[in-house]
Amino acid sequence: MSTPRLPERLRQEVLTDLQPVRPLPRPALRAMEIAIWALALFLLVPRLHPLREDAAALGPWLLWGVAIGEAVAGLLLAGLALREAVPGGGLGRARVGLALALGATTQLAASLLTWTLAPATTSAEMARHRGAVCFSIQELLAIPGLALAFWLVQRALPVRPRWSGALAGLAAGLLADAAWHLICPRSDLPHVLIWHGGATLLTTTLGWLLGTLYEVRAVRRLAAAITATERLSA
Amino acid sequence: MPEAHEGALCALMTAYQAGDGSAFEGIYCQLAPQIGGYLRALCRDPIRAEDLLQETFLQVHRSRRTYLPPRPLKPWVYAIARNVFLMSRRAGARRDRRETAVGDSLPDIAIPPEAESLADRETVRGALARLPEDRREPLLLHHVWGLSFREIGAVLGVSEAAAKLRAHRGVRLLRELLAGERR
Repeated sequence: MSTPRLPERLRQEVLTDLQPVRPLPRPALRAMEIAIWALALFLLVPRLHPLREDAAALGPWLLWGVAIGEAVAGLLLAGLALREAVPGGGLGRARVGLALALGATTQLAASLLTWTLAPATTSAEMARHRGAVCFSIQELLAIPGLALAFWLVQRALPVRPRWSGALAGLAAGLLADAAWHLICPRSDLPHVLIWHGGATLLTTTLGWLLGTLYEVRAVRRLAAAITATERLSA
Repeated sequence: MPEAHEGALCALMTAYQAGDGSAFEGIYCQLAPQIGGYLRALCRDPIRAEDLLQETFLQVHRSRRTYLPPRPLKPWVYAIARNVFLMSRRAGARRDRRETAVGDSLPDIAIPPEAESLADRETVRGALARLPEDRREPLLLHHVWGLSFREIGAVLGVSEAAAKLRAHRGVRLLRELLAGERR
C-alpha cells in the first residue's frame, strides 16, 4: 500500500495554527484546581456562618473528620471525571456507574454516621423551611464548583461528556455537602435524604445536562464541518 | 504500510505538540490507513469515511494538547475517530432523519488473517457485515488493526475483560456464519 498523502485542506488548517502546546496536566493534578476551590469553601463557610450548634458535642472527628472525608471522596470523583474526559483514557461505563454509586453512598454514610452518634432533629413545622434553606445554600455552594469542574472536563475533549459531566456534578455536590456539614445541625434521615441528597442529585443532573449541551454543540459543529467538506468535494 | 510503532508514534506526537508540522504529517501517514479502515468499517460508506477521516485529524489537531505523553497514541486517536463517527451519525439523523446507508457487505477493509483460510475475502466481508456492531468492532480492532484489549476497552468505554469477551464472541459468531456459508 502506498504512503497516504496529507490532504491539502488538512495541511492548510494545521499550518495556520501550529503553535507549540503544553500537554494538559494529568487528571490528578488538574483535580488540584478543584481542591483549591474546596479549600476556599472550607475556609469561607465557617467564617460566614457559625459552626453547627452541636459542634462541641460532635467533637472534631465527627465535625471536621466526616466533612474532610466527604470532601476527599468529592475530589476523587473530580479526578475520575477528568480522567473519563480524556479520549482513550476513560473509565468505561461500568466503572463510571460504580463511581457514581460510591459517591452517593459516601454522602449517605457521612449522614448516617453523624446521626448514629449525635442524632439531631427539628420540629415538623420547621422541617420544610430549614430543608429548603439547606437545599438552596448547598446548591449555591455547588454551582461554582460544578462550573469549574465542567470547564476542566470540556478542555480535555470528552468523548462521553454526559458521564464526565455527571461525575463532575456529583463531585461538586459532595464538596458542597461536606462544607455545609459544618453548619447544618440536622442529621435525621428525611432531612438528609430529601434536602441534602436532593441538592447533590440536582448538581449531578446539572452536570449531566451540561454534558448533553456540550454534546449537542459538538454534533452541530461537526455537521457544519461535514457539510462544508461535502460542498468543497462537490 | 508503514509500521505504526507505538514508541515512534509517541515521539512524533510529542514533537507535533512542540510545533513540528512534519511530525503531524508523519502521524497521518502512519495512522490514516488504519483509522480510515476503521471508519469505513463503522460507516460502510467510503466517501463519507474519507470526510470523517479528515475531520478526525482536524480534531486531533485542535485537541492535541489533550494527549498525555507517554500514553499510547493509538487509543487516543481511535477514540477521537469513534467519537467523530458517533457524532456524525447523530448529526445525520438530525439533519435528514435517515441513517447512513448500510450495505450488505463491508467496504474494502482488511480482514482478520485468521478468517482468510476459512473463505474468500468477499464472503468474509459479507459475514463481518452481518455481525452485530458491538462484536464486529472489537474483533476488527484487535485482529485487523492490532490494538490490545486494554486499548480497545479504552476506545469503546468498556473494561478490558468485556472487550476481550466481545471480540471472542465475535470470532465465534464469524466462524459459525462462515461455516453456514460453506454448507
